[in-house]
Amino acid sequence: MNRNVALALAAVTVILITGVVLSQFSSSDPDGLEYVSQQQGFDDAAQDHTLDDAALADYGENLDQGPVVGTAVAAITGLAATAIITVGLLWLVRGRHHDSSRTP
Amino acid sequence: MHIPDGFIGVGTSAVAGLGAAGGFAYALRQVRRYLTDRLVPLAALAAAFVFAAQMVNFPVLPGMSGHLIGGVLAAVLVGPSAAYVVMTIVLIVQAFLFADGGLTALGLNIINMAGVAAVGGYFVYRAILRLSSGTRNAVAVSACIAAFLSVPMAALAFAGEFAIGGTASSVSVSSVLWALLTTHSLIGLGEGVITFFVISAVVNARPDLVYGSPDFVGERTEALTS
Repeated sequence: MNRNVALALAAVTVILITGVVLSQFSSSDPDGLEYVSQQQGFDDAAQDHTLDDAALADYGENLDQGPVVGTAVAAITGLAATAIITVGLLWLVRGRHHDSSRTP
Repeated sequence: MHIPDGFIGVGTSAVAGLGAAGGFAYALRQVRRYLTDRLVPLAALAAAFVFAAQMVNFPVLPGMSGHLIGGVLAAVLVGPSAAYVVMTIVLIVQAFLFADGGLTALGLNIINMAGVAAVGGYFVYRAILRLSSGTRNAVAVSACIAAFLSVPMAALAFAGEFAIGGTASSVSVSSVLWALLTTHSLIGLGEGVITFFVISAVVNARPDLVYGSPDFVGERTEALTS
């Protein structure tokens, strides 16, 4: 197998395990900033998110299929979205200025 | 680490939004200077990994968790400019698809995690690497230390924004600053450990692909060592 393909497959495996499996065990305690805002008494200043009712808000919490499926669906959607947008944007940036001689 | 709407006033948030957008345009121009066929899939993998890792909150203190920012990790892998682009894309997806991080606070979050943690953290990485032997282990250790430092650096940036535009006027800024730095130094330990293992694995397998490695094959927009 090509070395680049092997690396990509290994990376995708790690990413899927992290996003779909490890995320199931994510701590529900407040993160550092939220914790500090509570300790210092400015957590009341936080407003509800504008898109709290969105289908995938809070990483699948609004979905009816339960937390495990919800988290998995959120992870796969997010992974695909970030990867596709990155590829699309860099491809656009590259555009017609692409000079294949620069590819090592 | 994601700032919700309401913590920082609209004026400060708007200025941060303009700054973040300017940074994004500049980063895209810089990326063009070293964009190759190999960078595109690497950047996509970095974006997906940062998104996935940020879903995993690890326990830090009783009642407090933390998660990877991934800024130094991304910057060592694909360079600071591509890392700024990658982190911005992750933050936009999180805010608009997953209601994580306020919409008016998006610019602030980009400044802190793409600007300060990723780009700022990369320059810390490079400074540490220059003091080292430059081996593959030195790359991973330097990335680990810079990743650790990048978390309190991002927290410090939030403290600055809070001092300028914080809406909670009755709160002591110095007390908030101290609380942010102590908690985020602890979270930074996790950032350092995760960054060490990922960079160590990649740089030992394919040092030629790692932008921040002395064995990188390709152009850089700035020198790695002086």
